[in-house]
Amino acid sequence: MFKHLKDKTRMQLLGYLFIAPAVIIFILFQLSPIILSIVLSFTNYNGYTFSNINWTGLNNFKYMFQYDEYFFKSLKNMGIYCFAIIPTNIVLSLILASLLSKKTKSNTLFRAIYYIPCLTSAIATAVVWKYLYDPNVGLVNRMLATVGLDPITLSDIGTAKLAIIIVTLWMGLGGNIVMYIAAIQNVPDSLYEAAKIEGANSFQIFRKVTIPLIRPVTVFILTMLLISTPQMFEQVLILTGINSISVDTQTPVLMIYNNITQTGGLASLALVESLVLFALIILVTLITQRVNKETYF
Amino acid sequence: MIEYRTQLHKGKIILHKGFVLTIKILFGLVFLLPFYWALVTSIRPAEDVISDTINLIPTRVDWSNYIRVYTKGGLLKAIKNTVIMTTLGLLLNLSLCSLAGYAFARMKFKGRDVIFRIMMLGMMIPSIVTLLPSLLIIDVLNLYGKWLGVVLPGAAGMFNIFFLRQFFLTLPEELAESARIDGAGEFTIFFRIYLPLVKPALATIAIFTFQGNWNSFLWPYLILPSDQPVIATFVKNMEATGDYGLAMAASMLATIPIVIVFLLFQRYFIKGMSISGIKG
Repeated sequence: MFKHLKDKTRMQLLGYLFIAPAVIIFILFQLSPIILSIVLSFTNYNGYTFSNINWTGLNNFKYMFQYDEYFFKSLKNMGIYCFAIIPTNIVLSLILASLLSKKTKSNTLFRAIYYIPCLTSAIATAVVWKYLYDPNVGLVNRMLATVGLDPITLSDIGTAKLAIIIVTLWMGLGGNIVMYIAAIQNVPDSLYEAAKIEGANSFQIFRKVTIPLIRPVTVFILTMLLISTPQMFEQVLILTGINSISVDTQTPVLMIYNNITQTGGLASLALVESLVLFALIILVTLITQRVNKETYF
Repeated sequence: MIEYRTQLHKGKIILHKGFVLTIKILFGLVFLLPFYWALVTSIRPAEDVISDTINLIPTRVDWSNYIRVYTKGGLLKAIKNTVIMTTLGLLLNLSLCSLAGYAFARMKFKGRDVIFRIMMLGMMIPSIVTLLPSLLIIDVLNLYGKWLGVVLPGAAGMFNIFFLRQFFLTLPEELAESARIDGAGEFTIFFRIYLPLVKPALATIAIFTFQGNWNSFLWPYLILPSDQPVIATFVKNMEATGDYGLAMAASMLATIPIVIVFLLFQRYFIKGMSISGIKG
């Protein structure tokens, strides 16, 4: 192809040809939607037709700040989920990974078992857990009852959030454990040996050698969690999506989803809400990157 | 004295190992028990599901939940739709991402790195932000209810492009140069020389794409007509009946295929996760 052209020009054209499909898809479904989101958030777009569309300036934003208390409630819920889930996820993944870092047959088996919850769809996982949390026949509550503890139920404000946090952790740990195992195995043995000769015990070695050396992976995992946890959706939709306390557990994405899909939902408001969520995620990601650069230098 | 000490030390090590093993097994149970319990429930007769005692080992195997899931209708359609969606998603991602990943790594053209960076930034955009405008674009392109509409937005995953680019970057450039001297064209160089060398990377993105498509819920739910479920929407429908037997059987049908794929290709799953951590 392009045989008649000079080699360099040909190479250029072929390069563009190779990336063209991916770039077109990117423009269609990432770039233009973002631009459209921003533009349409200043209109009264209803999600169906453009026939009665008008510029409404900042009306959607004003409406959100004045009347959209459920959205702010969902942002607060999101904050609680993030504070509960992100540190716990990192600490637990790190501890479990350190227990499985030696290359033995049994560790390979455990690693596989720990990874399995990551495989299934959040929908199927949440459906299973909804059954486990059933106040009468659920396994979790039967087990809690045998040791004399109060049940965790999805219709109770006190425990519904905890229930969602447990499920999210349960399905989020495996991948991070695998990443941490790889990172720990990547630390050169000579460093451990040197520390041993210096007389450090295994806890000291873990704290002073392993943790600093696998820091880049921790930063990566943290960044990914800071992007994904605020987007929690499917498990909340299934577990408490339509029960009496859904307002107290719902996340911003679930609210936006409802505004888009339900009749009577406000499409233009959904756009504003999603932009606010996006801005928050970018802000937090930028701060994390800034903080981590500073500690590097 | 010394002997006593070493014995004490040995004892400590055994104690320590026992403690560590107990924790490992405990967490193993935490991760496995929900699946096990769902599986056991799905092969129980309905009256046992709501019985008062916890029976971890089923006393009798009963397939009636699965038969009921089947007779409710939509199961075969859901499986067929999911298989079509997953196959198309796989083929598109493998071909488009390897082309793009190769070009971003090894071909020289103006703006290459800028375009790549901009596309990588796209990974940060929450999918909910692009959801409504994407539906609008699907509408404009007249792709509602069509397979292309279901698979096109995810047909060239950014992560896959990034992952393959990293792999192509590790391959020596001399391979291409000597092939060019022998008169090979760029397509030949890509297909015959470089592509076979990244087979492990292709396997890795294939299984992650398989997983993503098999589990995908919201997009196919919005694009396909309501009488055309995929497996995730089917599970949600079964859950909505309020019948735990049905819900667990449907969940297991959605889960078992992906677990089998995992057990067969475990190595690639683990490699993929490990690399994304270290190279990310």
